[in-house]
Amino acid sequence: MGEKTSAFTTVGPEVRHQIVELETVTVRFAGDSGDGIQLTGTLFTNTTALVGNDLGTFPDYPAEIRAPAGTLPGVSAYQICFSSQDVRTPGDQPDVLVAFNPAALKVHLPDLPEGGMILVNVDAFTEYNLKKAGYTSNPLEDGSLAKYRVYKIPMTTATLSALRQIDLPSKDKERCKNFWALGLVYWLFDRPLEPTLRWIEQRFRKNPTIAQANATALRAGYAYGDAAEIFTVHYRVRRAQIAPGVYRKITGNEALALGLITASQLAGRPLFYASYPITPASDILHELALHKNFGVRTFQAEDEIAAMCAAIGAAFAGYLGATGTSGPGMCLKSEAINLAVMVELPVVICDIQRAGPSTGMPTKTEQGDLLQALFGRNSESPVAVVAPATPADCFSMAIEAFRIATKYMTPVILLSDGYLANGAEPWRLPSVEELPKIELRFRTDPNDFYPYLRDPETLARPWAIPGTPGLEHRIGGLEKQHITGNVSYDPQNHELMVKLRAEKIARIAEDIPLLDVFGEPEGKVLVVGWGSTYGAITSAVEHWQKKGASVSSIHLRYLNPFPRNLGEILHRFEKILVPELNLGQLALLLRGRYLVDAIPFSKVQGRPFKISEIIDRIGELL
Amino acid sequence: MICPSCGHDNLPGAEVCAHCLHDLMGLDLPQPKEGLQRHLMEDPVRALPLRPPVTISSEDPVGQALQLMRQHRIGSVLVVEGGKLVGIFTERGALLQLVGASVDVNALRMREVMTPQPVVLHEDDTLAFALHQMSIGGFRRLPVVRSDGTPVGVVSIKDILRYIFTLCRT
Amino acid sequence: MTLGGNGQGTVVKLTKRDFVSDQEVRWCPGCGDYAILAQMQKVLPELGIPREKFVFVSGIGCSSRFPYYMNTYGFHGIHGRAPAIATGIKVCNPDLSVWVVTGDGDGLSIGGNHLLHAMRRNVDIKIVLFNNRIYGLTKGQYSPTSEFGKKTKSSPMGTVEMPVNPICLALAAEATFVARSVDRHTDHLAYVLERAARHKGVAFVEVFQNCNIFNDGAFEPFADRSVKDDRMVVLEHGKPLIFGKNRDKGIRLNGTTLEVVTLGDGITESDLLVHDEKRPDPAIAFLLARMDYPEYPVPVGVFRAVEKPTYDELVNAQIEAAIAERGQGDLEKLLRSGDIWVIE
Repeated sequence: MGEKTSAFTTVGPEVRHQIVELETVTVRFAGDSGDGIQLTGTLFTNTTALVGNDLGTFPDYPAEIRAPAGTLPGVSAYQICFSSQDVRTPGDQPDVLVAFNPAALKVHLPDLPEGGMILVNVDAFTEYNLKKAGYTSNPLEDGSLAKYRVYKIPMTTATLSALRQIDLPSKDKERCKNFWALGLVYWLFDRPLEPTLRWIEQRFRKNPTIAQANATALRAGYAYGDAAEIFTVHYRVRRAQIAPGVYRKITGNEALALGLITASQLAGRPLFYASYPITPASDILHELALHKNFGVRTFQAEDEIAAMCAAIGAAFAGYLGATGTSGPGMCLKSEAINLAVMVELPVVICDIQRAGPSTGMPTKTEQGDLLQALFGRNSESPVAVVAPATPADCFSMAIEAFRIATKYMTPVILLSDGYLANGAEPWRLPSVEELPKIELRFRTDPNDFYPYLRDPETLARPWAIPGTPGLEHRIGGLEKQHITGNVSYDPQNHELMVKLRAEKIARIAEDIPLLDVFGEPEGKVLVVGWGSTYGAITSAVEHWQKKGASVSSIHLRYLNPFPRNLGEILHRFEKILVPELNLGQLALLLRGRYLVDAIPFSKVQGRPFKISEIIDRIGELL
Repeated sequence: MICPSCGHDNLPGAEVCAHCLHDLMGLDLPQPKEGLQRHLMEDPVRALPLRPPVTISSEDPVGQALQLMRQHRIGSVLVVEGGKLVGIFTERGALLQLVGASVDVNALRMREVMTPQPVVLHEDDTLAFALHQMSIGGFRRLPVVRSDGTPVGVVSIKDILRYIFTLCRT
Repeated sequence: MTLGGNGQGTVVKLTKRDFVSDQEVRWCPGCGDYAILAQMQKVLPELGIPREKFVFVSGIGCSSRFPYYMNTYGFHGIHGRAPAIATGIKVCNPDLSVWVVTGDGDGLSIGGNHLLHAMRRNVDIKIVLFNNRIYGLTKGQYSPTSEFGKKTKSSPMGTVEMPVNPICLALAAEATFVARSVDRHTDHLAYVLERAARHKGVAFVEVFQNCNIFNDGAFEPFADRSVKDDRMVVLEHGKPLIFGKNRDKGIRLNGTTLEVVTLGDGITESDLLVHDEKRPDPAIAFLLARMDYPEYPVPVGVFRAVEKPTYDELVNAQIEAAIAERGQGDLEKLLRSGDIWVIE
């Protein structure tokens, strides 16, 4: 869907209740507290998944904790893109905007392309609400929405009317308007009511009257679509070709948390997760705190540094130590991460990047910490860095991070971002048997034990945990003598150790998958990405491939070390484009390391790339 | 934090109900119920019948203010400069500064006795806000100004009480 | 290098020698740290804990060199962060005897925050703070415990800051064991270290330590052998606070003020404040902690020793409780939690 106009502009002459088939639709629900955006969005998503569409979702939470109702900072939104084809992003822009109040319309209208459909709750467009949203005139009446297809729906009054037989105070009935609106949108997109009706019955088992009210509202909304004259067309999106299996919806942070727990189960050692609350990483702590019956010990530390240090302590004691934070927390942790580098203990550090610098925009996404992850510590400080590409990939990369950390006795940084953390996609559940094993080996033999006697293959030092008799030794932040691990200031020894630490990380390249090129192995344009740009890049490249253009792409999930075949792939293309949500950090690395003219394509707006933006940029290079 | 929709007990500050996904963000914001509370929270100051302001220049003598107050039977005058509100002088000000003091009220200028930069209301401020300002500051009346500083009137606690009385009767 | 346990779990009697590492000790000649090290190496073998179960964690500073000289597991961490590292170690392996060695700079300046929270949480670690009232390793700047007006390289006109009292800080954090001793009062130091080791919960010990290079004699006015009996008071649980070479002076609580009184002339032992380590409220201990030379005798000994559930114990209890309630975690079930759908 690279066109800038809406999916609906090409609809033919109006026929009563014609069903038009569409390939992909993007719907954005927007409103504020009391409008139930999360509820509407989530239930719509669940039904859509059951219908068999591929989908991607993204919630847009308000930045303020509690803004007054009806004001612009209080607006929250939920966008879902669903299709009969592969969906890799939550959609560049909405085709349908469901605006529950004037403030929602004001905030989100700029994203709606010409010809887009707007459904508004006309009951909410009172003078008071219009004023609060900063409107001097009513947009529904002053002609400013002439370019769009606007449907003024009396959601509140219709809900109250539908529920007039039910014995509930009108305040409670008004709350059911979420379900009424949902029913209408279901009709609009030809979705079944049954999954939601089942959900209502199950969740409101204790309040049968409310259950009945919600169900009635849902049906009434659906019936309204059918009976009211305002809609002459509704839409159908066929099921997609999805590999058979058991699926669930998952966000990046949920996947990350599950991945960490799974890693600890696979390794047979409990997980110790230390963290300080920070947007957008706090959810990982919340999720892990729920799973104590997996032996997960969560530690809400007094600050970021304590969190990292406690994780190191846990690793010293033989646990799987991990910590999670965002950009500002990474800055604080840098000295402690360096301690982990020097003592060579396995710790996983999750950086859920957000827009910076400094406090920046906590709820907006960015990919600005790549160079910090690689170099943001004093002196030569090599650390392995991995980056998941999609929300579900956070699960696999969390396990991979621990596998690398424990095998090579090194801290590993996992770079995610706000977009992956909060975005959701369907995830085909792996069976537990399919998952890789993580083999841990603790040293027990005191004979010929030296704390820094390295494994000849991996260069990892032995993991000797306190409590093991005969292996008493001291480690710390001062430079160590090769093999013995005693404190040493010897010049040759220091150079040797610096190089060994670097070599150890470099050898990880032997142990990670080679890159697969999406498209032809050589050609005109190669698009290189990392992290959350995967969806937009792949869709854009696919668009050009369908047109026969010589465009391929690769996506880096390992950023230090790079996969072994990266260099040769880069040299097989004429032009290299690197879209990143920063000013060109990966591009800088590629240029420096491989001497290629990597062209950065930067977007630093706190929002992900649109597929169309990458399509256009590739077009300029062809 | 009990969800009004399904009754589930959520952690304080939860944004959505963990059980039924109902939006809870509105629960901890003050929301008006019906009737009087709604009116107070939503009706603007301009809904009250504002008396036209009685103004005086900051260079005028205090005696003139006293005379205006007696003449119009009001408790305050608004001091303006170039059409914009710069101060207020009330009967209490007169009591505290003039009574018993040996001053010549025809020589003393307004700017010497007025309260400069007074707390003001705007026409779109809600009645609840007006009451709140009066309560915190201990004021019985507040001048109402436009965004450019020109006074449009004075709201007194009596005016608000009268309004509430009318609402209660309907 | 002799080994402690024989590797098969049976307890072999340990001696001081077992705790001496092969590293040459690099403190300055005459440094008070030697005395503390010696006492530690004497006390540890008596505790009945296998050597491999000791972990010494330190930060940065002269004090923090300590782990290298102990033949146990040791972690020489970064400046100020030892309590956090130690918390991670203890929570994960509560069987270990975890010690934090810190100093007045490492623990009260950069590490103040972590120290506070470790004590607040009652993590079962032993924190020994070597207070020499100066920054030794970086060669002589003033520290958070240096007296007001102290002239140093970074305060040539004297400091303009008031110091903090580590015992008061520990009591304010409600640490369950708070004690103080002096580096050269070896028997007393050994006693205090052993008490700390045996305490269940966080144990905070301040040791007045002499830095003979950058702050020599800081404690001499009251700790020197010739005057200590008259200028210091040893706190003993259940006993009245009596001091003086002739045991003729005491401390009396008058309302909320402590007074120095002379026994005789109507004042007997029964008028004196009786020290109670186990008092649940640390307020009296706080009063005692504020006694300073010359107005008062400087108190040493155990200010407070109360028992409360420890952080590591409670964390692990929650894990047990969760397992008891919900059963051991089932990975397959965890992955399948949330809304599931099946594609055929």
